[in-house]
Amino acid sequence: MNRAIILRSTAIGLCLVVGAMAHNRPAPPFHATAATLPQSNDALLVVQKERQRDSGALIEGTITYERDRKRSWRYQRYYVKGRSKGPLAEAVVALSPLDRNPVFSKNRFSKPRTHSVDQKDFRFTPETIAIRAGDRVKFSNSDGALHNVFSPSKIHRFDVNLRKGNESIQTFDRAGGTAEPARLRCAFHASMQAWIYVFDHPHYQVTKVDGRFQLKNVPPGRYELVMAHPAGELKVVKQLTVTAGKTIRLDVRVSPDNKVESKPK
Amino acid sequence: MTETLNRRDLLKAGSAAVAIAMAQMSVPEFVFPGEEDDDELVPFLNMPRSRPNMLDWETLDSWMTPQDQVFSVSHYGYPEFDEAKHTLQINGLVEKPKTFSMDDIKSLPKEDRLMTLECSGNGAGKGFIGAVYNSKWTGTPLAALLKSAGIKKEGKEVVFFGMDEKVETIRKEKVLTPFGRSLSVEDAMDANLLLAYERNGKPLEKRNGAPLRLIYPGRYGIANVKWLRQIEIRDRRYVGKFMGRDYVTIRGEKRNGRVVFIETSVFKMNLKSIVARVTRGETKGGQVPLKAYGAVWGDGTPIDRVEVKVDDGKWQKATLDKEPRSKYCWTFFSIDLGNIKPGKHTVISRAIDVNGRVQPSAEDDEIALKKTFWEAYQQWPREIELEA
Repeated sequence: MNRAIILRSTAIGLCLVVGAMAHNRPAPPFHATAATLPQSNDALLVVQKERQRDSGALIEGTITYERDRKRSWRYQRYYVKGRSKGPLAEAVVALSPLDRNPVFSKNRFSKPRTHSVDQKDFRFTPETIAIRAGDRVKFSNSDGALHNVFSPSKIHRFDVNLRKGNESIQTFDRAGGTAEPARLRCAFHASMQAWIYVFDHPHYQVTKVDGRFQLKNVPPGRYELVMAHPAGELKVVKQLTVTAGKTIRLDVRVSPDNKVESKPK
Repeated sequence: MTETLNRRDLLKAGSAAVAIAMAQMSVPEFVFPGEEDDDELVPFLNMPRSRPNMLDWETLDSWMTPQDQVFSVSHYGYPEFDEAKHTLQINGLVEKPKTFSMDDIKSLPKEDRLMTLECSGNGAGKGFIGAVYNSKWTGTPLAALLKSAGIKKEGKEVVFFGMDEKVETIRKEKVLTPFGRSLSVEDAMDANLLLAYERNGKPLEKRNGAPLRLIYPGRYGIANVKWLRQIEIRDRRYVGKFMGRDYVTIRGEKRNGRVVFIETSVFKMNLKSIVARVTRGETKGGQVPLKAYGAVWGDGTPIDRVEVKVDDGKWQKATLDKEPRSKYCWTFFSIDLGNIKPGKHTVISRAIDVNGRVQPSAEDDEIALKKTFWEAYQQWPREIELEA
């Protein structure tokens, strides 16, 4: 177990150490069974495979939401395919280093990109995006009605009205990470909301309908991996140690146990 | 009584048990009839996502609306005042002007009113179709209070003022305008009217009018004055902003080949139905079994039937729930639409009352010639796409 990957769930103190496979040896078969894994809604499965690249590790997996009939999530239908359980869409997955990590920090700057968020059928589309600090977001309105984009957020405060066909381009210079997304509203339509997560590194992703994520070229080191789902007020935090050139398989099961208190609105 | 008791449990228990159970329940929970656990929700296309503090149609399973799905609209914001020291005044053209503390009002005879309350603008657009909810309101009947004050014979109009007010600019003049709505003395003496301080057995929330709200079953939300502070009897018509300037429906009516525009104050609720959700089963022989569920309501006029159609097909009669029902509350309906071929479809409902009144479509003159968004009771098409 000298090359073990240690993952801990900070939420419930789950500590799980699983098979270590040196990348220069054939990988022995690994079978995770109910008997070897603790029973928990927050359970995770780790498989280490042969390295895929010379530098940096790959962290990949699927976020799955599991329903609890007694604590039903009313808006599950928008984010989870399947009634009782299924992949969770529009979840933000991101790393943050626990120790000084010069390689991770090297990736701090990138060429700014422009992302698009439309207001269509009285919805922000997409509702959740993740971008790099310095990136721009182009807001547009495809509805006939007058819309507004209002951000009271610390990382970027603004308030613009948008008529059909109009655009507003906003630059998000400050990173708030998973802790401080810009929460957007339309002042005229209270049911409209959106979140913009801004990072100062490239190690983040927003899941699609298949619930999958893939964080590539992760420099070795100890990290906190955060899964945040703002619309569902769900959050999972795990600590993990990344070894050079490894692939870490990390499947996360989320349930109402992972609900966090919402901030005052 | 637990909140997990559902409609199917009640039906299994038989009708006598239903009556007892309903009498005991503070907030009954019900599911639509015929809903099977393996029914899969077919999401509506081109609709915004539902959010808190509005009715979530697609998951509607409760005849009484839970508080987190109750909408609220205020015109001058939430007024700030000490609810514990709140008083209600009845004055104007009365023999004995009265002032009631909240304790006084709560010591008066207590009654319940079951009522579906809708915002008159509900249905005006995609972003505003969940502004309707069903409740049990608890309070004291208004008529007895008016009688005790003694309305003078020259009193014609009963004006209800809320605590909310704002400086309005009217014809270039700044005017501190209280929120107000009025009724004729005859309407105000209707035994249905209630001064309510509880909803579904709990104290009213501020946003819903705490500590005291006028409740008039069968009338749009605007007539149910929140934060009620004064009832004033006057000798002529009151035409405050929310009766004479806003909440005025302007509608063209065809007369002898010409269109005459008539302006009326928003008041009585209109006959209305909507498909709440559509569910499907497994595809069999290339066809998808489809069911639809919904709700119908109005001003208390009994409903004769609800009909549902898919695309340009025939109107089919839906089944109205026998229980729970109450005159001023919505009734849930359901329909088995049979097997439908995969692809995009439109599912739409219309209500018909015992007087033969039919809920109009958006193309019918009474909606098409309406120039204002209030009273948005047109049929509401639901778009779906069935995967094979």
